[in-house]
Amino acid sequence: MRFEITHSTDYRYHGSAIEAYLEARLTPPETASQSILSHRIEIVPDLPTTHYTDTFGNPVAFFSHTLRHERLAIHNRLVVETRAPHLPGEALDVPVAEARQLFSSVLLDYFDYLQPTANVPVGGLATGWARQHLAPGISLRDGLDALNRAVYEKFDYRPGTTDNSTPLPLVWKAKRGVCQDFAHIMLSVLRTAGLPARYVCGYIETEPARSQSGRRLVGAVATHAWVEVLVPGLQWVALDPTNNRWCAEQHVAVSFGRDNRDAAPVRGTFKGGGGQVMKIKVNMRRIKG
Amino acid sequence: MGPRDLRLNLPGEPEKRHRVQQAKRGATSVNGEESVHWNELLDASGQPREIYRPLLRRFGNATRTELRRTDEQLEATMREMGVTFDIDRDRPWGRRPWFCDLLPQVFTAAEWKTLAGGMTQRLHAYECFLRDVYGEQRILRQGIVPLHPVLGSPYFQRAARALKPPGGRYLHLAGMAVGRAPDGRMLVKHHYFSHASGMSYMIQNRRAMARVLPPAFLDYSIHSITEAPTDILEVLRGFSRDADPTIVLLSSGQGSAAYSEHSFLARRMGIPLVQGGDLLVLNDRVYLKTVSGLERVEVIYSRISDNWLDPLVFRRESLLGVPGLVQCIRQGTVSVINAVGSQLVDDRALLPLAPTLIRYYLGETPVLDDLETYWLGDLDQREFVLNDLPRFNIRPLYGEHFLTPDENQPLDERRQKALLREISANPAGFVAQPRGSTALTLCYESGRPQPRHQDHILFALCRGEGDCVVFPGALTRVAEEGSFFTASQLGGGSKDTWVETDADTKGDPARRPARDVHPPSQHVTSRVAEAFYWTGRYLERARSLAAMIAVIESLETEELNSTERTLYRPVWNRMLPPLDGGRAAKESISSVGGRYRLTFDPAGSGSVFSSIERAITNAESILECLSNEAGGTLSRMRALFDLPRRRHRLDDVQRAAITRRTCEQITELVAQFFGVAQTTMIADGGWRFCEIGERIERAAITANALATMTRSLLRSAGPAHEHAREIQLSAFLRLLNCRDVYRRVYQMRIESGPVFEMFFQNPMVPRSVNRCLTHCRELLQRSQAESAPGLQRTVAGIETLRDALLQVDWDKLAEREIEHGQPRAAARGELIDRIDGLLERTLGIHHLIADGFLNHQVHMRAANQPLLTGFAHAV
Repeated sequence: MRFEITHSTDYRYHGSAIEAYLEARLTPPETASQSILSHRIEIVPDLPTTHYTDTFGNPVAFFSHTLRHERLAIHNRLVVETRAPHLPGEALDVPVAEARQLFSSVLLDYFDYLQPTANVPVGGLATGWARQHLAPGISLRDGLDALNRAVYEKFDYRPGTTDNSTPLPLVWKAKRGVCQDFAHIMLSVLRTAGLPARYVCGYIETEPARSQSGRRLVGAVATHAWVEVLVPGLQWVALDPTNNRWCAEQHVAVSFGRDNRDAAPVRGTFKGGGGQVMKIKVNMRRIKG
Repeated sequence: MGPRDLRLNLPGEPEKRHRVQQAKRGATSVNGEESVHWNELLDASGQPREIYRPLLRRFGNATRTELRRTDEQLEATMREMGVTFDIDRDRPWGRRPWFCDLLPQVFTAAEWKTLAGGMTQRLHAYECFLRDVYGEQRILRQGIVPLHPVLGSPYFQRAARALKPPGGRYLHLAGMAVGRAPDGRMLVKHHYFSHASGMSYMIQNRRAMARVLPPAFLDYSIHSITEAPTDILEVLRGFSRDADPTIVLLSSGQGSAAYSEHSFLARRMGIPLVQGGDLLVLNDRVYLKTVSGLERVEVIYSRISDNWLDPLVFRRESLLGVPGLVQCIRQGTVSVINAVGSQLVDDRALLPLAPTLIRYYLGETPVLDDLETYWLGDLDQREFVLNDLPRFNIRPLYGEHFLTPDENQPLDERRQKALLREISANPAGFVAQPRGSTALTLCYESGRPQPRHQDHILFALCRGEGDCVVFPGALTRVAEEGSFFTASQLGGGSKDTWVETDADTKGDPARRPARDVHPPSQHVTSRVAEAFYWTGRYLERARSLAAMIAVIESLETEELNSTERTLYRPVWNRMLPPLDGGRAAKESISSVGGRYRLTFDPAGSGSVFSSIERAITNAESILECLSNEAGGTLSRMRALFDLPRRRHRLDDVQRAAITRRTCEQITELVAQFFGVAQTTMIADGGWRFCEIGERIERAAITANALATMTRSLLRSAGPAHEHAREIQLSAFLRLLNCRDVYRRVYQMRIESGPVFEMFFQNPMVPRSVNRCLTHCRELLQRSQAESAPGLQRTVAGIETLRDALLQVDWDKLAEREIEHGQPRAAARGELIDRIDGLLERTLGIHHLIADGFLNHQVHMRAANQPLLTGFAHAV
């Protein structure tokens, strides 16, 4: 499938800001399941950017705005071709315990993806879930499937009930949240079970709503988040617990990390007297190939 | 004189004598449990160790009074030199002086050889380790050391893997804590490899001792250490290809207990002492914001730990750091010493790796042993420790804190429970070290020797590959009476530390001829200038308001008849409250209560008190730039408000009296502040901004008062109201304390035209807008801001404004609209438009100054891009 995506992050400052510094992780990687046909990060006003690759492999654009300003916008424009991912059948047949054993030899390289972070603690309630869904003898395929479904079923998708600072124990308790919380819950269980897993930030095509004329409506949606888990053969496979499915052609991955903090598409800091409002808008449109 | 002389000075009381004798035996009793400590001064038979004999003989020959006097002198010297270490941050003007004991610590040449050799060996090994873990991770891949304490350390910085350390090295300036095992062996207790805190105290101790006790030095041949800052500066310079690079010391500011150290080192090296907000990242380069513009910074000696260095990369809530700094390091445009990521080796969990690292990287045998250290993140080690808990101190991975009580206190059941709870919440965050790693020494208190526990911090500088030099001295930390906690943060003191030269180096080649003294830094940072500027503005605001209130209070009670009172009050009431953005508008000045509140209302209300508070807050942020005298004047201002704020029930007579007295005192103290500051402070560009702020504020207050009064004059325009206008103008002049000035200038009755002329145009009247602006311009031109990109623009702005107000024919305008005009309620017409316009432009000078010198909105525009008109925002 081919998509044209525009993802806008718009900052408005109450009063004015001086010295804003930002990092954008908005460059989608070329992978077996996605090819980038065109990509451009547009900053308004136009500011010089420099680039580097972070420790999780994300290309990062760094830019600063040191003049007094009241608005700053970042538009990510891309055209991407997606393909259904090829799931490694044999690797998914491996039992959980055996997979864990296989990873111990590459622990150094995947250490970070097994550790708790401030946003994704391990243990606690995740221990029971890991035991239940990722029992040693079960195959990775069935275990992951069960866990994905359990998160989907046991947690309510309720926008507005959580934000970036809602601690995971509260999400466990309230059993509701948004895609980011679903992903964090799943990461917490996977890492507790000893399976390396990472957070993915990206875009998803929403269920195509149709207007009366039968034409597709272009929905304004937010960014999406899901998880990737390492399977034998050192391949990452992606699951979307918010939608209870294995990621397929409707997902476009952009950035990776241990949690939402690492993978945040835009992060920054500014000096200024007032507060700020950040608006995010994503337009994702299927186009003819 | 023999060793017994020490006993001549023993205190008389049996209890204390007992303690000293314990000290001699080298043992103290901790709750009945005998724990043995090495005795630094005396050997097992109670005889002074050889190295201490001359010193102890000298001390023994002195009377108690002599010793006490010398001790007092030492303390006074420390205070005079401004050496402080603040554990209590609530006393800005009375920082805690650094405590140094009279009896120095002395290391023999042989002891020192081991210590210095051990430290350089470890530095070398840990340097290799840092390069490895941030590079290929060979040692981890080969399984030589476990992954968890390394990769799981909160001080392992993932970002550092992509950064090139300055000069290819991580560690440049390092500290290391050592203590004595009960058998006297030196043990490494903790690494401060990334953060050599305490070096200035080592140097200051020596400087103070040399002043106070010069004869004692004659008995010894010891190494000099006072050149250390110059050595450091040379190393820092080496990181830039520029012959004269800009180097700064990045401090966390007043909040740091060791701020006096940062300030000392910066002064000694002649480099600016800056905080995060003084630096700015632009096009991947770091700049220092100074009143002369942006200055490219090439080398940063950072005293901020990694996690606070850059909010984009590390802790997001950090206000101390510099956003974008890591990107500049990545691009190689700036060197930050020590390298980002080096704090990893100060993690106590890595301390026990030392022998492994030394063997693995250097193939050598460790020169120094470590204090046994167990990482509680490891199950086996944790169990071992928990089984024998009372034997250990439990400490976090970094910092001076202890979870366990002082060694003289029992670990009772309640404490033990709390401790276990804390450990089990995050075992990987703690280590255990056995108790008893301090040595016993004597300190002189009021001339009497008292037993104390001590350990040492050594400092080293690495100049290049294999060239690490340990400064021949140390910071010897002494615990408080009865305590085993030596850290300064926990209340301890210190000793000057001498290192005996060995036979080969007699004559001390280490004492090089004094090198060039570095002139004090010429950079006035924008932060300092801005704090001065606001101090000046708020002080002038407080003074104007206080002066007006005092005038009203005295006229109300003493002079005015009832007719005058009725006629004066409306003028005053309109003019006075809006001084601070109209927030105090609800207060009327016609009642005693109103004036009382206008004086004493709390912060944010626009009262005199709130302006003083703001002035002091600004001044406190640049404490190191203020003289003690100037600071003292500010304290006295604040003290004026302490008492009345606590007294609630006052009758009107009392309130009137206290309002008047306080306002008069504030008027005097503000004047005194400016006078004292001028005679006691360095007249650099920073101070000048205080005077600039004062002038700007005064011009704005005058213009504002004129605008307010004009509205009231317009309502009573025309010949019929001449008498009413004269009373209004008289009230106005009295409020601004200018009636006599008017009489001297004009020698005629009070008319509106001359009043406008005097307050806008007169070049000599202190309140006139013209005079304030002229002063501002002169101060700017005289300050070090000559090269500032904003200077021309600001001077031009001031000149245009002066031209505009000088061009107005005030007499003619006033004649037409007021003396012969029609009364009008709505303020319209050329006169009021002119005055409002001038007021707005006067206030606008503030933006020119702020943009040009303080927040650098001028420099950063592309040079060929025209400036937007006025003060419109750029985007």
